Amino acid sequence: MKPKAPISPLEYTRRWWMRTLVAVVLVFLYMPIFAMMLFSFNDSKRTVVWEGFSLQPYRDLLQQQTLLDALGNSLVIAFVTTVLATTIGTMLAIALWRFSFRGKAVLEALNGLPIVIPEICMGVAIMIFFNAINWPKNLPWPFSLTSIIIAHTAFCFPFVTLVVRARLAGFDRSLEEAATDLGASTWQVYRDIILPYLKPGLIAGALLAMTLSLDDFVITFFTSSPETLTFPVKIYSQVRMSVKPYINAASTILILVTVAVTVAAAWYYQRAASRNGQK
Amino acid sequence: MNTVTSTQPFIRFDKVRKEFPNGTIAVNDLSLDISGNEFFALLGPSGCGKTTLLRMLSGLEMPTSGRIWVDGQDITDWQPQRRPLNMVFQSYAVFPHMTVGENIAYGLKIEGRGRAEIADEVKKALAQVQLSDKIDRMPHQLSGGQRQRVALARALVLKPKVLLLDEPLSALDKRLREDMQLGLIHLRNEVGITFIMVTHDQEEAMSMASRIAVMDKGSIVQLGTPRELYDTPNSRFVADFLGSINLIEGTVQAVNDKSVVVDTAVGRYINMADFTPAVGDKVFLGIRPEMFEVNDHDPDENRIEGTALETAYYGDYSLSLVRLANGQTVKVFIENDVDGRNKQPAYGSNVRLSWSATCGVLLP
Repeated sequence: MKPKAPISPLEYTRRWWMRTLVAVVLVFLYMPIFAMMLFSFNDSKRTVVWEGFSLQPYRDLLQQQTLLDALGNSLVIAFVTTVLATTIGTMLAIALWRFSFRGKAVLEALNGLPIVIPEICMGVAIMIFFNAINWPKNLPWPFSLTSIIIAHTAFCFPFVTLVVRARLAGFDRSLEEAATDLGASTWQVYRDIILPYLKPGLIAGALLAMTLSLDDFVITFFTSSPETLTFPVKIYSQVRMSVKPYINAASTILILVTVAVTVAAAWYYQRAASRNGQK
Repeated sequence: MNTVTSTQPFIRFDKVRKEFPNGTIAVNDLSLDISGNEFFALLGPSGCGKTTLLRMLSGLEMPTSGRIWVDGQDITDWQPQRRPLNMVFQSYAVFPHMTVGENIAYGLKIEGRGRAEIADEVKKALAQVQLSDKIDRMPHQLSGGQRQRVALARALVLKPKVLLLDEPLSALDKRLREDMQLGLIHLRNEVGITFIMVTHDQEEAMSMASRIAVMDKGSIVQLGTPRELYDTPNSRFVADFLGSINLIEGTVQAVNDKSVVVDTAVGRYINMADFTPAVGDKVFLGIRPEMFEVNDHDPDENRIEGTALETAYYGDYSLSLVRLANGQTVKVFIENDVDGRNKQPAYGSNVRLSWSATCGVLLP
């Protein structure tokens, strides 16, 4: 038998305690998710006891019109929020990067506020705000979603700003000057030089905004009305009674969609990065 | 628009001043004429204002006061997009998300030229910098020297009247730098436009430029051909900045027709002077390391005795440190003969250095 090489000081992956730690973390992180996915194929009405494979929960899901409506609401809100938050967040990031002006430090601090404020406070504050300004309540769909979209955009765009600013920090200003020197107007410099450079940051920021909006519960809970329930809020109201298998099914679909989008974005980012020779 | 007579130089800086908001005066009421078809170098230490001057010419900075003229037109208030000059940046600033061809086509595209014309011009520009086979490469697939040539082609394809180069060789390694020096001289001769270069590297300036302006603290200290600056510097700053020089402090003892007698701590010497000092003035005697003769016996020359210290061997020459009687050390350049005769002084040995009165420079 080949003798084992001694473990050198930095070879943590060969130490038993490190391996145990990693295993424990992985189990607690992923076991619940795998269990939920598994039970979405359970042939049973309510119990968490495995009674055989079935697609019945998925068929049940298609019958749950209110849950599907909620899913539709969530997707519309997430889409509009992503567009708005990415636009506003990027504009703020560029303003903070490019200009120095009075109150810049204050604005930067304010931008961080929605990230650190407890969500429950944001939720209550936004609810009170919409009541105080008498925001119309009986708008037809999809305009009834406006208040939730505004709330989501408000807490999502600071994350976009953070991501885009981090990307901008590495921008070589002489690229901009070179384009100007070659005759490009300010607008052309943005379109041809700065935006292409920012693309990975924009995609990362947009993905972040989308996932934040999709799975937000607390803020939405305070802002939504019975007609504008989102997917997480709807699930919460149903789970209060009992966990139905179709909820497992719905969650599984949501997870798969999220993972697919994330993998696609990561793949795109990798490809763009290797093409531009950037890390 | 102002028009001017043909006696006007091609580029004129007229009392140009640049003050930054924090109060720094980067360029201090500087006036400078550059004629067409020159390879001009702005040389100076970092912070001397040379880059600011170049950026004001390109339009990327606006002067606080003063006017800038190019080819008979006052361009001081022109936006950089409009100016008939293009720049090669120190970092090259090649657009990382565009191919080599797209990079070079960018300026033409902005000008709104036709597709066929652009393709044609790009091809010609690439041929000029010997990169024809790299048209579809991404910048990160190129070496530093190739990226610089892309930046050159991108600027030259717009047919500017003046090409501005910001520290063109500083990012290249030594071997490539030598090739590129000759390459740039060749390119300038070929396109026949004015090149203006900013550099802190005296070797870079001397090897390429037809004229050099040495700058310090926002002003021009001396202006001339490389040879003039090297042989007859007008100040200790210029003498020290261009090449290496040994400075021996002394007092003027007598002033003759053109030569001056200087008393120093290590002896009395006669040297030519380009200016007329008064008796009793404090002056510096500057002798370049290659001006010394070692252990030569010409009685007419200035002579100095010292002790040899360390010697560094460089192949074709060696550089020795010699300690004089007053404790000052001087650098001495020793040419190594082909026949292998070893003229290098041994450590601790006595050496006699001599130089003629026309070889040293007297500096105020």
